[in-house]
Amino acid sequence: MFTTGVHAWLYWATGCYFTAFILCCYHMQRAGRATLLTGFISQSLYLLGRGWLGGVFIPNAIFEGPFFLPWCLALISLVRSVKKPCGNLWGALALVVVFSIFSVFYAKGIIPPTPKKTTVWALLFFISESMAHAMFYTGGLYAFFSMVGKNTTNDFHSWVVWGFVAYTVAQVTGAFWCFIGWGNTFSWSARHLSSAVIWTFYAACLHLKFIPGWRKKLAVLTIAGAALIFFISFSNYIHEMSFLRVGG
Amino acid sequence: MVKKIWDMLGDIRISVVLLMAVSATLFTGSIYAGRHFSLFRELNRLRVQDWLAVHIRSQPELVWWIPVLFVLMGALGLNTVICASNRVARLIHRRSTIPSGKFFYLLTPSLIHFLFIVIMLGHLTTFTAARWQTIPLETGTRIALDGKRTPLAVLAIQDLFFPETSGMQNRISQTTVMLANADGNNIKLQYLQPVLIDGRFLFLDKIKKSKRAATTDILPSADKETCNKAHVYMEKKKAKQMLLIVSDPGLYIIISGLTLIMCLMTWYFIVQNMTYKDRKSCPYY
Repeated sequence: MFTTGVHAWLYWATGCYFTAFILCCYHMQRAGRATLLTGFISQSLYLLGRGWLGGVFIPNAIFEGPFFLPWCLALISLVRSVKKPCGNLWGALALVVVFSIFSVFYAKGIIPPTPKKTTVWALLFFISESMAHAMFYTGGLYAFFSMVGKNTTNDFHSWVVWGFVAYTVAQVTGAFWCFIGWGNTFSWSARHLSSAVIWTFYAACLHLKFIPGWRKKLAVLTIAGAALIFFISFSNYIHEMSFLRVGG
Repeated sequence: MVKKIWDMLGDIRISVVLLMAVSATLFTGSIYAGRHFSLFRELNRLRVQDWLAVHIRSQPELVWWIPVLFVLMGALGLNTVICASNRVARLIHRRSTIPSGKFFYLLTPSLIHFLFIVIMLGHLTTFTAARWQTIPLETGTRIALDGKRTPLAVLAIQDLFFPETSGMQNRISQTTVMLANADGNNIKLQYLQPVLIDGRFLFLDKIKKSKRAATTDILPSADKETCNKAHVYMEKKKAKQMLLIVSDPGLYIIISGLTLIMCLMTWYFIVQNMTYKDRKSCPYY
């Protein structure tokens, strides 16, 4: 594909996201949205191109967390801009910019997949996991805004709820994948245990809403949850930078 | 007195505290598992009580969190059952005043909680009762499954590689193993396509060749090993083809529970989102 290995598409998308962020900061919403859409299309093409990094089409590379997470966040920003045209996007775009910049400096090649990793269950797992992370980060951001009084929106709990649904889908698809690949529905490895950490943490967050005296803690825990995901997932991403890669 | 204890055990504040405690314990465990990959990998091929019996004495500082996790999960299970039962009892008491659709909608969170318990019990069954057997595979040999008199014959092992022209050359994309049972029927086995025979799943696996051959249930330990196995699935000489036989009584409970919980949760939150405004005035939620 014409975008395979051409990282200029990623740099261009990151530049577009940054420009959109600046435009939204100066309340130039329409121009900001147009630039965001341009960046989103560029990044989508770049991600598609990653599928051919190994010389044959391997979709796993498209959904690798460091590259797919900014795309999920950009999608959330786009959907928000359509659903709430009057709302300011700069907060959500700040997240897109930060994670896109990380992807610019991340190892671009593909970790050669073993035969156990080329299944639709793996793709479903990575898609739902990245989408859940994006929703949890968005929830954390809006929880932060609600705490500091910049209450552009007070619906951070909805992001946690939908993030939890997406994360549960990730756990279910991950369990199927793990069984058909390794013969266990749960593996006693750091990766699976970390996933369980996040799931139980957000399960606690969801229950907090039903305790009247503890509701105020919800915003704090939503921010803590986002920090927890950042620590866990980026520890993994940085660790995976040392793995042998092909292409890129 | 009994009612007071019952209500206390089913308190939702205890649920939150227990979930946080479980999360913290799992987090501690994930750090240990990351630093001692080979040690905890054995737990994927052994029953938890057998594994703990060895390691709780020899390495208590590394494995202490596993019994703690089981105790916390047990307490969480008890709390969840009581909490969900109380809610169901309240709903049934008001059944006559609630339309059927709304009743099922309101019942769904409790059903999800009961399913969570079912899934946890499924996992407990797997951890304590499942059996994993790993056997080396070589063409022309016969393999005996535990408890089965007639062995399976290994007819052929064929590795399929990525194209030579790609950046993935010399890497295995798939392996096909042909087995034959006593009746002469062929059994085709591939990665990600396990076969069910007499209640046992047969999987393909591959391990790096080491000085100590891995012919037992416990996989060989390897220093500085990580979960990345890209180097194992390359040329034949470097790795050994294995057959993994799994007998897991908890599997069907887990898979059914996970599927149902996912359907119910998605349905519930979609309905909740659609009726968001009405929900605010709902006295039962």
